[in-house]
Amino acid sequence: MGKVIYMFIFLYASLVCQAQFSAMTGVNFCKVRSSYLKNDRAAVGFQAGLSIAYHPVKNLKVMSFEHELLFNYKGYRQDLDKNYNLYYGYVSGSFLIKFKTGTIVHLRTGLELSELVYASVEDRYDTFNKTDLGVILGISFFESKPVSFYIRGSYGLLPMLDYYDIDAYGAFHGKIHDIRNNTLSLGIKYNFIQL
Amino acid sequence: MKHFYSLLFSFTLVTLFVCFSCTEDYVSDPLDPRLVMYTEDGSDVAGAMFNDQLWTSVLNVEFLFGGYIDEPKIRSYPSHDSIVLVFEGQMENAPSENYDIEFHLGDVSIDQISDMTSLNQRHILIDGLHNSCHVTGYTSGVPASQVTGHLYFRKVTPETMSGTFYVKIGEVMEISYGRFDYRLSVIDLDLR
Repeated sequence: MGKVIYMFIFLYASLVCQAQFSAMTGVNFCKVRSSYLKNDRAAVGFQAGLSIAYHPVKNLKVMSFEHELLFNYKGYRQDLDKNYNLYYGYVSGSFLIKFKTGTIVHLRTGLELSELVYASVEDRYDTFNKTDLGVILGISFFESKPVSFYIRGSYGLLPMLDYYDIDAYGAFHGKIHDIRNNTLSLGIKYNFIQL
Repeated sequence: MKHFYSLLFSFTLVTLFVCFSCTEDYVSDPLDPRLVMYTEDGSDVAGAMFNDQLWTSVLNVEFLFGGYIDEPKIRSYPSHDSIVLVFEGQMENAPSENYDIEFHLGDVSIDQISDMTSLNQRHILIDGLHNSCHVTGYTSGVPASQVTGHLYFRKVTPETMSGTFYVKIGEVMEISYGRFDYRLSVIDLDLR
């Protein structure tokens, strides 16, 4: 309920401040960071959602804040005796600071908080940690036009897995906190209201 | 005739009890999905790698008339001062054949199932003398002293038994990444 109220208040405040409301979709190129996964490979997913950007300071047009609410579909593959594919979905909320560097290019950076809502392997949904926090760094083009393009990287900070460290001989070496998301996204935005 | 139907009814009841009470909870390992995940919940599963071949536990139902049986996944035969643990399983590339891993533990004093908790956190060395291991199709003809390894009971409660194992059979076979997680119970089947 708190999240709904927050979103409503934010939407109202954004509109009062003449915000830019956008819908966005893109391709996720995912590669996890892991010290324990065997033969892991990259996987391709997607993202889709909404964003709202506004100037926090009226006369400071080179900087804006941006909030996003996305569904992120990510995953990874393992090539062992056969191919094992694992995909999972997050609902992500991000807070970004956007800098206008020229008439065409914007840079953005910020944080993305994600909640795991789906896994293609049902057991993994129960096994994996439900929350991820990532650092976002990106660049976008033609933000003042109805259609713009973006490239962004997301660097996951929190481990997806808490598990036993067991070697081939059955000896336990404590617990591991492993598998972190790295994602490169390429996408387009449809900007409904212009700043 | 009345006695026959009563016997048949009892037999059917036991069959249903055993079948419906025996469900595996197989979850693949999050790091290596070929293997079963290590758990301590009484999931009734076991798994290992036989060199590069995957071995996993199977669910069998067995009746010993006039004798003792336990949960079908493990057979434990208390014999004064030793026990035999049998993990029944199959190789992924030969699903129609059974490959059992038997641990004969001579240094273990178990008279009843409640004594199993004495194994908690215990490493047992497989040396072919006091404790030995037999694997279907791989240890016949191999001197017991050349079948070595260890069995680790990481967590044993009155209800569950979990741990890991490793076995080396001469120079030809290495059973690695062995893990097991079973519920413990005893069914005393005595049909008169």
